[in-house]
Amino acid sequence: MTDAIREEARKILSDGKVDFVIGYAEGDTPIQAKPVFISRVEDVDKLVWPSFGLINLANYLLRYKTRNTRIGIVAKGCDTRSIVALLKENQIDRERLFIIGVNCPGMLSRQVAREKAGEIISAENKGETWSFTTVEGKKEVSCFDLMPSNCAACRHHAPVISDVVVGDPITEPEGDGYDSVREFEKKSAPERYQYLMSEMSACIRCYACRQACPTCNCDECFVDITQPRWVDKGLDKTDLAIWQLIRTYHQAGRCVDCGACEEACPKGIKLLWLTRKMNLIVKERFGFEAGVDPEALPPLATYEKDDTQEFIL
Amino acid sequence: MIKLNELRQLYDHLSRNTPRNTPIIGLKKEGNRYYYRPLKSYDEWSSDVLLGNFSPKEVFFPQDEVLFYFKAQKLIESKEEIKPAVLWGVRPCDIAGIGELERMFNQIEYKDPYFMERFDKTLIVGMACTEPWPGCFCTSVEGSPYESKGADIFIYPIEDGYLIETPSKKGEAAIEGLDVEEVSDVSQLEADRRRAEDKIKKYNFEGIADKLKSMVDSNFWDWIHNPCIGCGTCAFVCPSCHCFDINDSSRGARGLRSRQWDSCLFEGYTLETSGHNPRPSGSQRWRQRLMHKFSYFPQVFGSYQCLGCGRCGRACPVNINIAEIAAKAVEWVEPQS
Repeated sequence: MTDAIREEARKILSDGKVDFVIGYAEGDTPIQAKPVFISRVEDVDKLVWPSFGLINLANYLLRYKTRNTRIGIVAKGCDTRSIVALLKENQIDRERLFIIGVNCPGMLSRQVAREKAGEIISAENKGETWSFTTVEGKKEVSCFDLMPSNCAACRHHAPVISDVVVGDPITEPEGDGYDSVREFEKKSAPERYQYLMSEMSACIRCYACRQACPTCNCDECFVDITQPRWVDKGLDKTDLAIWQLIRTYHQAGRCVDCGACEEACPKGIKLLWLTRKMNLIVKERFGFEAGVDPEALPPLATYEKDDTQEFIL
Repeated sequence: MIKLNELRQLYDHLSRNTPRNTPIIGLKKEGNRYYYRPLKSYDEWSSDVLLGNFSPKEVFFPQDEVLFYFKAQKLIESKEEIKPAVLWGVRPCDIAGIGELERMFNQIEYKDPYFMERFDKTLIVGMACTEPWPGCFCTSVEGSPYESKGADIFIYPIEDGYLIETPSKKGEAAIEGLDVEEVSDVSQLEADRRRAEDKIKKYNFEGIADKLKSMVDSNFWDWIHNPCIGCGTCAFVCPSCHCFDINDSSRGARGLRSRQWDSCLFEGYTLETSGHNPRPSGSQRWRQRLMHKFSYFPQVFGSYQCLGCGRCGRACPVNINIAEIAAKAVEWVEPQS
């Protein structure tokens, strides 16, 4: 896959089709990929197809909204969904993009690796498993067990839009991928409340989740607005929960479940429960999944006479 | 220096000989991360972990701190009583970080009473790193895994026990009554120090303060910040980042003024009331971050404001390594055009 990505990047750079290519490079510390901007053909070999590449590269496109730059981008299935969502919101121009779509078999998560193995000092890939040296000793974890919940639930491995596709096509698993949400819903309301509150109260307001999200692209985030102040700045538990709840609401019909927010969180908060539940609601009520159909209008941009009128979440 | 067979002896001695309810704050696992938290017992201490995911700065400088309350025209100072504490098993880089905070918060003209009271009342028990982590680079920023400066008590793990040094009077007083013999021959520590230092990746930051000074308008910043998504993770895990934001929150005539950690990589950090932002782009914000740590701080205080713990690189969602960037700045040659 790495070779194919390099090949495509080399082609578009040497043909002068793009000014630079956004892709992944090897990180400096174990099990991390590093987003990289390649503008010279001789640097193309820095590009890799990473194992731990949950950061959504579509996020970087927002920077070039108003600039006349032609950009090549390596995009997983979910990244292309983000691109579609951004195109529909007129955030980027399709003509200035060259999308190297990747049939993505799913990524591995450093958050999950930490959960399964502990604090990782070094890591080695042994094919189907990863061998970790942690503070508690050596541990081997299979790649399957390192997959984050969003990749396990993914039903859109193939790029939705692209100019060229690399990687072998992937057979989508059965089911709609929302079983974990339905399972979670079976818990009692107090149980769910307690769990979610304990997750949200760990937040430290670093806003890594927001910054890692291509859809969190408001010019001014409600949480930064001081006149009026919607949410206080401190670590009050209610404020923390409100921050995450409103962030989720603002993602209605826009979240592509790429998992970048959860992967970016320095506290390892399980943010995807909220967004995935909302995605399920949007899917059931409006038959819509963000970024899947380049033609469909997002639910917040349209209406039908027989839309359900009850409270949404 | 004294020798102990078991570290528990020192821990127990400190817990017995400090005022009642003095917390001993050490690394503890919470969820799947390590934090500096009050320990219930010696066994709760994660002794194998080199560094917490977050630094011990929150012991002195909490992320969210009330400065005072107000009610109509009346001010009521925050009444939280600051008690003595023992900070247990912190590493040389973090001790140096606490030192940098102290320089910042304890200047002749400006003293931060909130920080200083906690600082004065805390006994710092440091510990040498026999096995540094990949990502550590303290030796490149004038540190060492065996540096005891700044600690009150300092622990050197050796083959058959621990050597204990007391670099400060406060530390000396704290171990008084600990019934153990003095050790005079500590020559092996020098070899241990070299062994540990050799395991640490060395970067060349020579002349960086002046080099950066000449790079204000450099093209370097245009590409260096590219992967950065502008979150506050690096600043929040950093042992020496000390910027804070002050906020009022009120309901009717009552309210409070508090301060929270801030980060120079946040877009709103320099946003002015008029709407003007003197650092509107990521490249300018990254310039500020590197300049502050490797140029302004050395010029004003004579030392780097980066201690080489490497936490930022490990925690960064996009794996930006400040040491790599600083080393690249040293080598940077401005393109001719």
